[in-house]
Amino acid sequence: MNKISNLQLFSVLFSVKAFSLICSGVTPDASQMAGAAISVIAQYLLAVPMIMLYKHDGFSLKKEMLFGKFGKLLYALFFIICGAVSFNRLWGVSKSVYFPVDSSLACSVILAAVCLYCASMKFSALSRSSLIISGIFIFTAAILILGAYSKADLANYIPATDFGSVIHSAVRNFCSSGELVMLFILLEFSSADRHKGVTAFFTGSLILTELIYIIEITVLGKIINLTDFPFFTAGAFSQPFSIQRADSLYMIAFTLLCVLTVTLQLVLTSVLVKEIIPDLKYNTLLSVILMLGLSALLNSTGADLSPVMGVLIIMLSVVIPVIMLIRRIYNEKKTGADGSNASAMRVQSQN
Amino acid sequence: MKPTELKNQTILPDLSDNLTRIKDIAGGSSDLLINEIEVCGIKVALMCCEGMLSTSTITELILHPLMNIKLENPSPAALLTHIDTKMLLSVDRPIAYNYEDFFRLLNSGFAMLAADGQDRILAFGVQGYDKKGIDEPSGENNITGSHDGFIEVIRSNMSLIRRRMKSPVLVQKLFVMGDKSQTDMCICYMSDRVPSSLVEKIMDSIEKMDLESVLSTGYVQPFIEPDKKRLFNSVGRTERPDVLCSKLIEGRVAILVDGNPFALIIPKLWSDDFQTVDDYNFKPYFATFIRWLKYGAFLISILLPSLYVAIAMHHPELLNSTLLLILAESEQNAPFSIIAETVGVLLMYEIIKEAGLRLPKAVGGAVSIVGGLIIGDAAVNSGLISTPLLTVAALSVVSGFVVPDLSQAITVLRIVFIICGGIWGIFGISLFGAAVLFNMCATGDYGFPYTAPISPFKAKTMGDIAVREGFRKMQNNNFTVEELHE
Repeated sequence: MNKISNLQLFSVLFSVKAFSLICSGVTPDASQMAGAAISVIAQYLLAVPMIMLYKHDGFSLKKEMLFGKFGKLLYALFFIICGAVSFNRLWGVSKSVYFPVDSSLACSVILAAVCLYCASMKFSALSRSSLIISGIFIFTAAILILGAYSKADLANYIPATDFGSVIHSAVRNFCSSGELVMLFILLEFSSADRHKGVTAFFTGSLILTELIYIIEITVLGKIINLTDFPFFTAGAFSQPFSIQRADSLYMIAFTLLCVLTVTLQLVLTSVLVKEIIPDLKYNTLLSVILMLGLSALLNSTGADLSPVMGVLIIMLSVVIPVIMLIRRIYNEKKTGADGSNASAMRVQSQN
Repeated sequence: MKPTELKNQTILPDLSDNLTRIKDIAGGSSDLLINEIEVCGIKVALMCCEGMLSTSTITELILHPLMNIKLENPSPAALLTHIDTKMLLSVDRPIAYNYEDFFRLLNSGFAMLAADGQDRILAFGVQGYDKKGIDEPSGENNITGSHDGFIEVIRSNMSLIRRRMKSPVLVQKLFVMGDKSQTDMCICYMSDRVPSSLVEKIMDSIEKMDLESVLSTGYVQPFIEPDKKRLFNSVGRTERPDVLCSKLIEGRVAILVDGNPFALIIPKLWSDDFQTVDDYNFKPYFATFIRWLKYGAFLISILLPSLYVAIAMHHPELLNSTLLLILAESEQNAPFSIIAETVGVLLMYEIIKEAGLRLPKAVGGAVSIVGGLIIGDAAVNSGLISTPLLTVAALSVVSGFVVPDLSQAITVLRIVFIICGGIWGIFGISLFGAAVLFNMCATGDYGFPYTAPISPFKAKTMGDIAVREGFRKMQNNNFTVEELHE
């Protein structure tokens, strides 16, 4: 995979975050807003060990992955689950918002085919596209804000009073954010001054989350409890122009973000699968089939993978990086001590 | 016989053997003219290719001085040395030691002088073949820029560049490609702006060509643009010397091909298609306005018909009631589905365009009238095509003319977008749009992304992308494409 700049790192992760926010079925309120803010700050703090790890000379995740191939398998499994969840989100949205496709399955299969094509391009295509797609999304958000300005009623915002629900929201938000795991892998391919890209992402993520939540709360008011996807409902309620509806713009942004997110998950999975089984052919096709299959299974059984995702996120983005950092520091100290002992012995022998 | 085989055959010293060999290789070609004469009592032969040189020039500059040579101790070697070192019969005077070089020079319009007993043939550059005069380019018209364009003769094109760029750092290297055509090609670059590694890479790509003939730039392009799966060209093309010079100053490399009035430019960026010479002669605010108009026209040309189809077929709620009524009223009487109607109209336009292009100009104009006015008007009046659809199609086609360099991609993508929009609505358009975007972002050869400086984003260069800065600001910029290299 090619190197990516800090701006590209930001735009890739920002787009993934935007997609999860657009498709979020969570009913936002003041507790959710506070919880999301706490979650983003916590994620930022947890990204510090990752940055420290990559600051060590010659560190390569590919070579020094904890538990070797088993570790890589865990990450690949996580991205397959993420991909399945993304497909599931598409299924959900396609049921609620009008998509001129016969069935949700057909919708997912068409999307999978496009993502397969996009994944066949170089990784640089993905990182470059992400910048343009995030630009389109920011433009869409600007139109949404423009439309929401006259429809928003600040009286709909009721400040949070329950500390427990804030913490519950924070945990829930953290356990549904796969971006931290993606960040850990993507840092391997990013250029110097990684902290700049990471800081930009978490700042953007915080602003975007709070902005979308506040628009949804203030525009929708009590209707918010009746809607499956508050973003789309808020968009439908806040039309900026009296003679022309802007819903198509939200659908375009949603589809582009969906393609980018699934393609990223597909690329990361196929890269990891290739490292686990180097001789495996059609690894990207296999990955997308696994994602689609799992998505269909989740959809038919109605199973909720949030707890599994939560455990995996904590393990892959907190436990493993921290252990690797400790191991690295310990090894460096040991090597340093051995080196100084050896030089001391050399000096003695010379004397 | 391949020219490479001729390379190993050195010139025969005996003049009669030499001439027999030359006639054999030429296969009795009628345009080979051989004049056997005696100069200072030594048998010589003056050879040329008919129609490739000027008769008056050869008479004045070669024949008269030759006949006036007087040597004290004449010998074939002394004669050729005298001509080569003491007479300036022309400024371009290569020497052929083998038959490959001999025929290449002869067929390039050189006069060739062979002497009995000598294994070398002197060549004199007295080319004087008929050529088109330097004229305004047909495809890149402008209002305020220069009005001269490249022609088919490579040396004239090189001089057009040199006239604008007198700096010694402008390098123009000639080389020959094509076994049979032996076409002259020229690589041009500013040696202080282009890394030597880039020139080497491009030359390596060109050397991989094993074509028998190189008749236009299109033969070369696939070799310097190795990625076949891309929709957009990552190699630019211009027939304007001023445009080429501006690209050379930006650190790009150009390739000229003899017999073709277009130059290839490497690398090409997407934003290049929206810049014209006039932009730099207009006031910056107006140039910026025109540039954004072009960006809009590009989107309209690709997306407008597909959005019309998608909205009419799947998302009528996106229209206000007035527009919806107009649309419903006009489409309810049309016999075909909207998707078939739209694709049909655009295909009809492409057919009329092709017919107009390939026919003689006088007939071509008539085809346009018949196609545009009679068929279009008749189709609407008979109710086969709705008026709003025809308006949308016409607007889309006219918008495509604003960025002619992208016309190939626009033509095909427009139709695919219509099909996607007709089947899956805006979802389909967005999906296909994502695929096109990825393809576009993957385009780029020699490490120069096609979408730069938009993505990867380079703020410094946006002064000539999002707006058109004034020259006062640009003069301190010293931009080269190397800044966009990844």
